Amino acid sequence: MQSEPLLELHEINRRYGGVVAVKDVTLDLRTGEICGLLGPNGAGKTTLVNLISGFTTPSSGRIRYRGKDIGRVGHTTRSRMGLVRTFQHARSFATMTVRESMSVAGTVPADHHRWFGLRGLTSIGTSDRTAHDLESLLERFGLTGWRDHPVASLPYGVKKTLGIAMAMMMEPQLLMLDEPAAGLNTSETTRLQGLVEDIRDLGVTVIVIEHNVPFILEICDRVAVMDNGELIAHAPPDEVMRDERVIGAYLGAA
Amino acid sequence: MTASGRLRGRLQVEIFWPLLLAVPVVASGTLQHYQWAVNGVIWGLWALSLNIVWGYAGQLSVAQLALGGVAGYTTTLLISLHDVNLVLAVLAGVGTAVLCSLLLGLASLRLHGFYFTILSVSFAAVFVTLVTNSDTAGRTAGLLVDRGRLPVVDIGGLRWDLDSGSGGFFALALVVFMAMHALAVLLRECPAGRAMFAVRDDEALASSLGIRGATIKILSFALSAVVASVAGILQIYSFRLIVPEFFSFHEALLSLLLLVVAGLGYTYAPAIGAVVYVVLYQAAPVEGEWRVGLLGVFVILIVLFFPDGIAGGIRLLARRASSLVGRAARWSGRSTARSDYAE
Repeated sequence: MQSEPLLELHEINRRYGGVVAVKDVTLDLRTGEICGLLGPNGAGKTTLVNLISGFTTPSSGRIRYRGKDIGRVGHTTRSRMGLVRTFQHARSFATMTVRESMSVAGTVPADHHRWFGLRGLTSIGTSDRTAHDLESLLERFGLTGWRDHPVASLPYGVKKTLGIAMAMMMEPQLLMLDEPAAGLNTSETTRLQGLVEDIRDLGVTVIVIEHNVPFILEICDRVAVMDNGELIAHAPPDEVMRDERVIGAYLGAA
Repeated sequence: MTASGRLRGRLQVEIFWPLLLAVPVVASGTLQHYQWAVNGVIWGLWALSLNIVWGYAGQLSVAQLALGGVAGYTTTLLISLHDVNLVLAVLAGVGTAVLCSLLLGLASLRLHGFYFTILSVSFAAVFVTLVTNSDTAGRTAGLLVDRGRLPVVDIGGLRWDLDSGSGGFFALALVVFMAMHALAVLLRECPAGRAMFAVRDDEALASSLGIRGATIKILSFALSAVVASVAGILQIYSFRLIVPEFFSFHEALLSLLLLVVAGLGYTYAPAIGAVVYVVLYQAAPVEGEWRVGLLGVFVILIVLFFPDGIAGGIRLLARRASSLVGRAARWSGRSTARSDYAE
């Protein structure tokens, strides 16, 4: 698959005092691919997602999104620009129902960053377009039955699925999933694989951080492997699996 | 019925139901009951102001009464010292309080949780100290407020004397409360209100969904300051007096307790708070200090048995009742099916 890079990272570094969490990472992501991000605990995967989504600022290096430098753009604006992430631990709006949570994600307008973000915050109810998107996403993610349930009472797997559905309400261009399969059972994981592929088929680029190696190998077009903050491989899954450094650093097999 | 039609119907009920609470007062028509009801409405407004900033946006501010005091003193001083027109003075009062609330809002961006609450306590303490020691503000004796300036409204020959002790001032307070209550109900339904609840529940998640927490918090402070200003100005016109004591820490604590008892975050809560205030603080057949004790016992009982307050308790009971009705309907459906089979 050859298309324009959607996102380009150039020699990105992130240091915390003397600790280098991400070191000289150069990486590009093409439109419509699923990129897996593998690496042992503490390798810098989540920090890299934080850097791309804007939750962390880089110590040095450049981030370009659709050809524009977004290094100084805050995380809220980035999410409005289509760089949307989920979190490792299922985060949720505990006092809301599933439908309410979804509508929160869908009703803040795309130009939210203008006028201090006040514009468009006063319309009552949910617009027809948003309501339609909301219902079709609930159905696609198998959440229709949970529609009016309080989020606090949902099983963990459903909460994680809701996190992805909420991110999809933002109509992302680049979706970053931080360990989406962690805590899911086998059937939930299989369904999640299908969902991620469906999302890619909509033209969305997906980054998936996962420890579940078969999950990554099965659905990803390319896999990036990190170790001690460095990117040690970035290639299609079969090539990555043959890479000496990957075998040594992550898979641990001799 | 369409979804938007159902929403509109539900909103109309939510907006107008507090009018029912006014029925017994109007039916009684005695001066004392009107005065009780005015006080209830004012405390309902304090609770409403706190509900927007704490219940909706999750920022526990003890400075709401002080903000009302800022509006009250500004209005009174502009009228007494500079003979400013009443409407302009009220607008200036509300504007000054909103400006102060923006400062508090900016502080809330740097301080979180308990630390912000401490800052709001300090803001209130500084305000009360300033007016208590200011000759211009009349020190502890305060200033007299001339209610004679309130206009007589003439709608198609129907005279509405806002100054009249019997009903006129109560009607003014009720109209103001209904307007603020409607604002709070509509706020909850619009993206800004939903964003406030989202920021309260999980600010990082909200920001990952494009919601700017800073904007939303500052907006909640500004809106709550408008409501607090209205409450403060109504209170001083009700008592025809403005004194620092109205805005003291003790009173702020009372507004907090009323909201917790009524149901933090529920749009119903301020109206329920108004009723609780009238019943426990005005109508209860006990004297002075005992009323505080009575409220204390009431707070303990409510918090123990209904942690979400009276509004939360009502919702819980309604849900249980509807699930019981549903079960009964299913059971009767089954027994009908069985009897059909038997026949």
